[in-house]
Amino acid sequence: MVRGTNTAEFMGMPATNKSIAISAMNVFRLKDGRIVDQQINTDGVGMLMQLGLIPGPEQQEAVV
Amino acid sequence: MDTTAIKALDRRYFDDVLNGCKLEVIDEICAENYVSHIPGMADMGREGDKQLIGSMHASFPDLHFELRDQIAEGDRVLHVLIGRGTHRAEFMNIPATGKSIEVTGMNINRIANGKIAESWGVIDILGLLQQLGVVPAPGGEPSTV
Repeated sequence: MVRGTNTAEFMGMPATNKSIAISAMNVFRLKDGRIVDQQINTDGVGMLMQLGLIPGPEQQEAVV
Repeated sequence: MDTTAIKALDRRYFDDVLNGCKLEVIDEICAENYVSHIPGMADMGREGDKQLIGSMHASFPDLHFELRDQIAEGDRVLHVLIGRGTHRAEFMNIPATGKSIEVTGMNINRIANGKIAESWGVIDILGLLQQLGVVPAPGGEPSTV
């Protein structure tokens, strides 16, 4: 779970001052004791809905 | 179950349920009180899972999932997938666009008593909506996987 408050410009969008809580999974691939790549999946729709940047009927449910 | 057996069970779900759309297999390999958690959706049991997977295959008839990675430890197994398909019928209230999509997803299954008891999934729904053209990509750039 990723939690934070959007107090400055993010991905070209001005600060909303809203707090978000979204799910994410990261998978790291290691080689010789170091991370060589990672795959990330985050709940981008939930983030944008919680920031109020896209509408959605699931808006209430998306707030964890 | 050891990790080899857990991986085989997860693979059965991946091949028969996700790709094969043999929804009755869910009753065989998922526990009666199975719960699936996906962000933005209400928690689903076995019937909800059947409905979701059935609707995905109905909307994307050529839907195919590629298994990129599978990792197991203890009572958990994770798989990383890429789903590809063509949007031929209404999906999530979006009328058919005829567009081809490619989205990533990750799923962790918890195994208990030889069955999938609980599941946590994160799917790139934002990427899906961007590729269908219903949500603009940041900066107007087309979404890429």
